Amino acid sequence: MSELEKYIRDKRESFDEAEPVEGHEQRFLQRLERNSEQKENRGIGFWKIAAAVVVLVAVGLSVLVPKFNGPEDVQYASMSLGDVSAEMAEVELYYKSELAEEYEKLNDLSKSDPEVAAHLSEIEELNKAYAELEEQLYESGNHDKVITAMIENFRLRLELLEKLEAKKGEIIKQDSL
Amino acid sequence: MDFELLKKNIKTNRQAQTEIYSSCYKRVYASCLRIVRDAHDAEDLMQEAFIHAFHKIDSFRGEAELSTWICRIAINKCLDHLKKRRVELCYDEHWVQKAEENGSSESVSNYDVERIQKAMQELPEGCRIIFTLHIFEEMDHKSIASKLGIKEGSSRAQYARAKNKIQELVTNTYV
Repeated sequence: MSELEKYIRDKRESFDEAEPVEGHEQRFLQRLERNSEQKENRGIGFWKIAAAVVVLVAVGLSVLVPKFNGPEDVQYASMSLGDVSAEMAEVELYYKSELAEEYEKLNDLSKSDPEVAAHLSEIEELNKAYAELEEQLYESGNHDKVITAMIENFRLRLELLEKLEAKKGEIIKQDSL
Repeated sequence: MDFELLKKNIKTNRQAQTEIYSSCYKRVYASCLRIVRDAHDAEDLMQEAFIHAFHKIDSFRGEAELSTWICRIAINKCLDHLKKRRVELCYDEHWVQKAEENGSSESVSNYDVERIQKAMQELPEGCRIIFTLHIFEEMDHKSIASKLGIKEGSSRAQYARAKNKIQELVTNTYV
């Protein structure tokens, strides 16, 4: 062992003198509290999402629906935007109902079209990314960056579905010629 | 206190949790800060590690100190954080190992904590992380290599370079 290594090991504690920004203990307590609440809400969150899936199925959505918001999105160590706050629940509800409406419009859309297939594949990727964000949200505890990413994910999915809706219009037009 | 009872307390008792935090945060924070270098990220990852540790306390077997175990969780989180942010770990291949080649002798009198910390900040990110993991977190090169997705030999080489660079800076530059 070199003198440098020996010195560092001997003085190990002196290298750990950095302090987090003042108030970190308070922030940690708040985070612990939030985390406990989320843990308690997790069961309710599961049923909320499960109920949403049932509703979506009930309105006769296409086979794509389970991919969009199916039980595979529901993970034990995850939380939805609706668990964050009442405002976020509204945002989530808005996007989910918009997405559901768009899906409904697309249920007879030709999936053999390459452009349609590409959009569907992008949506599939976004669905997976959203499930990961739900896990991250649980882990980080209402992290602003994660919430922003979740909303952005919703927005992108909606944008793709709107493109598909436009594509559907084109397909119908072509078929009628 | 009985080990199982202690674990149960850590999982559910807020007072036990804050006591553990107060007694270990400095070490865990310092480890995070050495890796991510940003105070805000270091605090965020440190606290995430504590919460994770409290949830997963059942998997703590008591073979290491609790603070060491929490530190390991924190380090994993820091490395994941760098990966998620796609931080490229730079490994400097062009350092001349002057200290070794010139046979410059080490002198303990040149060392002090501040100088060493300052020298560490000048290392390329990958080198600094390898140096930190080996010397401060006592991880062997095999584990470091597996964590960073590099070869064990690279970890050893980068560590040696980092060590030489620190010795050189502390001995010749910061005197």
